[in-house]
Amino acid sequence: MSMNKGLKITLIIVIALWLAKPAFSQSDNANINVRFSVPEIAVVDIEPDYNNIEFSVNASASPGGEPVVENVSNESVWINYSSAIRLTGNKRMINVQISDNDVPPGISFYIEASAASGLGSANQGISTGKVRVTHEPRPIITGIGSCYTGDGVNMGHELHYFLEISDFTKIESAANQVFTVMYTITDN
Amino acid sequence: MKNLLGITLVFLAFWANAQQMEIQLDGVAMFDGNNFMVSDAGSDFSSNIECESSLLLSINSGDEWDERNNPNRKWKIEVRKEDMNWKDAVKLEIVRKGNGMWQNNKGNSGHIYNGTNYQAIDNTSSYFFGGKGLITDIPIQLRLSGFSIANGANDYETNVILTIYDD
Repeated sequence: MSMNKGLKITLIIVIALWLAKPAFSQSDNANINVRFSVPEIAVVDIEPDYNNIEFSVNASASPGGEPVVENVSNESVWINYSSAIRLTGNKRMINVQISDNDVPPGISFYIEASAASGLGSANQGISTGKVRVTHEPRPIITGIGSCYTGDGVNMGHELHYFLEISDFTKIESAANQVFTVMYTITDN
Repeated sequence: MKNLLGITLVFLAFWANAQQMEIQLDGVAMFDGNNFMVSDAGSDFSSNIECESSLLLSINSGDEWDERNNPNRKWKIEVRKEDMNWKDAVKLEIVRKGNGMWQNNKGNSGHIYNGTNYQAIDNTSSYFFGGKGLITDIPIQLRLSGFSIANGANDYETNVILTIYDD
């Protein structure tokens, strides 16, 4: 009888310990600190890489008529950009200006950026429309957030160039005139 | 008397079972800053960015008696993260890249399983991989996925916490 009682007590203790096993279970931790920074980024590029936009200004076919301005370049030109700004940072814009030589007298030069192609990410900029280009920087795309347009032609904004005769009295006969347009991405 | 001896033995067995498994990590998580640059205007970061440094995990015993008498103790590892500064759009993933070295080295690599596919680390704990016995130098790798310049310039910091449990 006492053996049975002893056995019962043993069994009860064994079961109690078995049930208590989860409480005995231990755990241990190891930590990995992961830390990195994404810097502010602002890069802009014209595609294709080496392009010249060429215009010809010719006399009118009819006597007394205005000269005819013709864009003889067939190539499509695109502006690509990548931008990373801080959450509290200002949005960016792209300015355009003539950086080298001058537009011939009596002629005005304009650029218009199309709407973004829809490729790339959200938060791309908005075209400001047709902008007269001078030596002073003027915005052609504004409201650029953290975004990328995609790299290459048909990505970003297509650029349309216009040469217009603004003052016929100032036009002079000249050989080829070359001037350079510079695009700069900057904080608003 | 016999009963007392029995109880004592059972208690010792449970006590041994309750000895703490230890998890130890060597290495730091470093991401190459060049991954956060763009070489061509209009392009994005690489969508998956792997941690450039190696991380080695070791499973040790907290007790010599347990190490000697309970060499095939089963365990599992769970993983979670605690964010200091993070964005939900950025996913941190973890993978086990190897089997490590079994401390009772008999050329057997069958004591570790699962965890060989990248899995996202969330803020709630989830199973990573399991095994049995004491194993050192288990290589693990971290990766950022879904990473984009569109997430903006930011400082990121989180703690990845690996927890070992008896299985």
